[in-house]
Amino acid sequence: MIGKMRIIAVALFFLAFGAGLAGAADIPLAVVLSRTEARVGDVVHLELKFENVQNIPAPELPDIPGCRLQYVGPSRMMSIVNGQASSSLTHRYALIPLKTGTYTIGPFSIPAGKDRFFAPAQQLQVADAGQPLPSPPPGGSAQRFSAENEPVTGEMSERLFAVLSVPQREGYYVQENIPVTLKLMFSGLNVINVAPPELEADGFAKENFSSRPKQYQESSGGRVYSVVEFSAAVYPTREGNLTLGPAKLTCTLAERQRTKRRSRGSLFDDMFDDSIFESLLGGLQQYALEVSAEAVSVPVIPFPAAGKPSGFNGAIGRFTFFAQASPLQVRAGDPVTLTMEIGGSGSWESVKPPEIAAIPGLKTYQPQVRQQDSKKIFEQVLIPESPDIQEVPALVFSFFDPALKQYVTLRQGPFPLVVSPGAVATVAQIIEAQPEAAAAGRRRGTQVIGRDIVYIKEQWRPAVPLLRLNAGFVAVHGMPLAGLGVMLWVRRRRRRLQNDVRYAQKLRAPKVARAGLQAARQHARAEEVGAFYDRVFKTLQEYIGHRFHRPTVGISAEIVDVLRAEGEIDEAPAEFLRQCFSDCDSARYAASQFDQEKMRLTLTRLEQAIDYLERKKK
Amino acid sequence: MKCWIAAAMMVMGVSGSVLCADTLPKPADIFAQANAAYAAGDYAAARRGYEKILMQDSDNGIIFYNLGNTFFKLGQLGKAIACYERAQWYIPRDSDVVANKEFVISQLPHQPVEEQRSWVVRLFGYVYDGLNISVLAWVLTSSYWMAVVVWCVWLSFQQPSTRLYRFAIGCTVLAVICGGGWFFRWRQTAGARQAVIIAADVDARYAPAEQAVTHFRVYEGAVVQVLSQDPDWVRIKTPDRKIAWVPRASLEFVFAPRFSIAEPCR
Repeated sequence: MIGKMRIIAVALFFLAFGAGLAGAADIPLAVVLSRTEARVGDVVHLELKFENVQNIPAPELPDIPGCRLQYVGPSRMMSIVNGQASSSLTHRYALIPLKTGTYTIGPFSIPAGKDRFFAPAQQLQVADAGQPLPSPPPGGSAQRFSAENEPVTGEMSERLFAVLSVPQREGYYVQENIPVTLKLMFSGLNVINVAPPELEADGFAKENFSSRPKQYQESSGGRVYSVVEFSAAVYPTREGNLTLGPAKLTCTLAERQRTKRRSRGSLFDDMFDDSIFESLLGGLQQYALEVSAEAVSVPVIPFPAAGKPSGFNGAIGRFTFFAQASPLQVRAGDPVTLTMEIGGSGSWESVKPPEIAAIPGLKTYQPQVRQQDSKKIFEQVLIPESPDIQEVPALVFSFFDPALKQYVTLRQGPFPLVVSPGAVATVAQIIEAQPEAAAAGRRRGTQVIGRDIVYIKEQWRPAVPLLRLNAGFVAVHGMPLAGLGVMLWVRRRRRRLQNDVRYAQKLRAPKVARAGLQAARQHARAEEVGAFYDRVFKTLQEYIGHRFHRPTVGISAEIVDVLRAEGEIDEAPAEFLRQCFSDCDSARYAASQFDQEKMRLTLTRLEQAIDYLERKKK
Repeated sequence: MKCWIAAAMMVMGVSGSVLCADTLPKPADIFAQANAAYAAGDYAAARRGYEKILMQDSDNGIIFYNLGNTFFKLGQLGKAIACYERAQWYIPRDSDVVANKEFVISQLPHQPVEEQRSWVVRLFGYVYDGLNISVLAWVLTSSYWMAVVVWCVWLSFQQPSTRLYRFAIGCTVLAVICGGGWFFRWRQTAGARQAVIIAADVDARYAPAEQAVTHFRVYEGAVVQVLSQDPDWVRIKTPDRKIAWVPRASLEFVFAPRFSIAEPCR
């Protein structure tokens, strides 16, 4: 198999290379198909081999209708032959034909910077799963998604698919609990790692699919399928012909890699049986797949108008209703707890607490809700405010039973109450504060009890200006932050000057040079040749010493060649410096030959050299 | 040293001038007229007067308080609660506002559900709810300046003490906490995140459509959190954490989105 692959690879390489010659910018790309003939469900490996490249990301190949293409990964190879190093980068793909036919894969044109890798198209012939191949695959072992001893026939789509279903009915009602099942069915394939499906449900409230699906086998169309069944419930939130789905789930196809067995019979062969290690150490190759199930139509019809109770508020299912009030003997102002328990089955979201008829003197609070497994409990606090209240009115709970297709009304109560007069009505005892009375009351430290709000404020007070963020405010408050930043920078610089001698000297070099040049100019103006060249020589020593972190003492003309050799300075400033040193030496022994013009020339050279070196530093 | 003091005084002077100082064109007269109308029982006129003042001076908690009283007298309890909520934002420690709000709530036919808070949240809330945004901003500014000054002092020393460093860290943490508190309070108003139900009862629905199923019913006076909006519907969250859509007309935002970070001083 390897031999044939190599032949194909070399042939393709030359083909690709030949094609590449036609286009000036094209670089040949070696494309290797592990097989040119395959059956439905076989795995064919496709390799794109890039020669002598550093890094090329995995090319995104276009979809091939009828085939599933999946990127496997890269591999890099480097070889050195007779001192010549070469490298290659191979991107591997797995190609799984899903239908019979002849597939054209490519041509390939992959841009890489300014260049382009090119390879011609490949042909892959795919036969039906039950038919023999015209020529057996190289190596004698076909890689297939098949369990051993189980013949696999038919198209891939018949062997692996998903079905979304809801119970068929003329119509569902809003908020009705609709069970949904999604079955992943596969035959003759190793399917693992099935993830819970994702369901598109516009117009529905939905529960998540269970993470523990049912698994069983089912026979259909003369074929035995393994079934993974997920279930959930959805609740339509509006009327109309709604669409549920499509649903998608991901799973992994596992392919058993068959390798040639060693000759049997030895003790070690029996001890280290391949099959054990294959299963333990990755004898399976895995390919991620996404399977989708088609959408289904769900008609949602309105509740029937006939017989609709007045208190019906959308509850749907089959429920029981129980209510009790406690205590039934209270004083005015004391709370009575009304507990309403609705049990049964149906859409709990649609179950609302029964409303209590408004009675003057009976204050109601919003109920607290608790949901248990198969019941919903509402606890509502009522406060009878006067002894005139004699009962908690009857409670009515109406729901629609979709099985019977009719409304059901359940009643509880009324609950007789015995309300005795309370000591003092405590609710809302707020001051009735007429301005003068309230002020007087506050002065006396007493409260006037009544049943009204505190009086309005009569004293005009202009609004206290609010401190708000505006551009000026932000700018002003940004200044100290900027100052803090500057201080940080100064501190860091100061520390560096203390700790980094080279940096400190480099910073000091131009100052030293400026001072030296200033002194030299004064000597030149005074026509003091000896002092001038002494000053120039000393300036050169100090500047070069600081600038290049060298000991100042002993710096002479030779340092220029050393710096030049080390690449610290270029030839132009080096020449200036050499001439400066030379002038200094000459002036030391024959000062009379130097006049003001020569001193000016030396000074100019020195300035130019320093200027050049300072510019280079930046 | 003198230079430093001069610079600090200059900065303080500039920042003082930046802080907005509102000048009001005779709102005191309108206020007196509205109060007189209230005392005479002409609550509609009183309402108009207070609202007129708010057109000029929308930051006055007293006006919101009086307007809340007026709405109560007009029988609009939801609007009254919204006004008291606004008043509390400006004068959070005012006992009259707290008392009237509690009273109006007690008068609601359906008592709103109270949000369940842990004791930690209640403890912080007790301190935090008593500060209006202005106080928070002053505390933030003070702690910020203090932190900057302490850091500057710390940086100016060659060998700063550990105690000074800890103090600087403490000031910075305080400034960050105040900044967070200020931002939260600012966001409350800038983002229109709180509203009060003003309709007698409203069907809160699963979707922003009249034909959508009712999830629950919410009653006048309930203070709700606004999660999102579209032109006609608002998605709300009740204190007991139920989420649904209600018509925009059925509620009133406690604060409309009107503050912005770049708003110039009036």
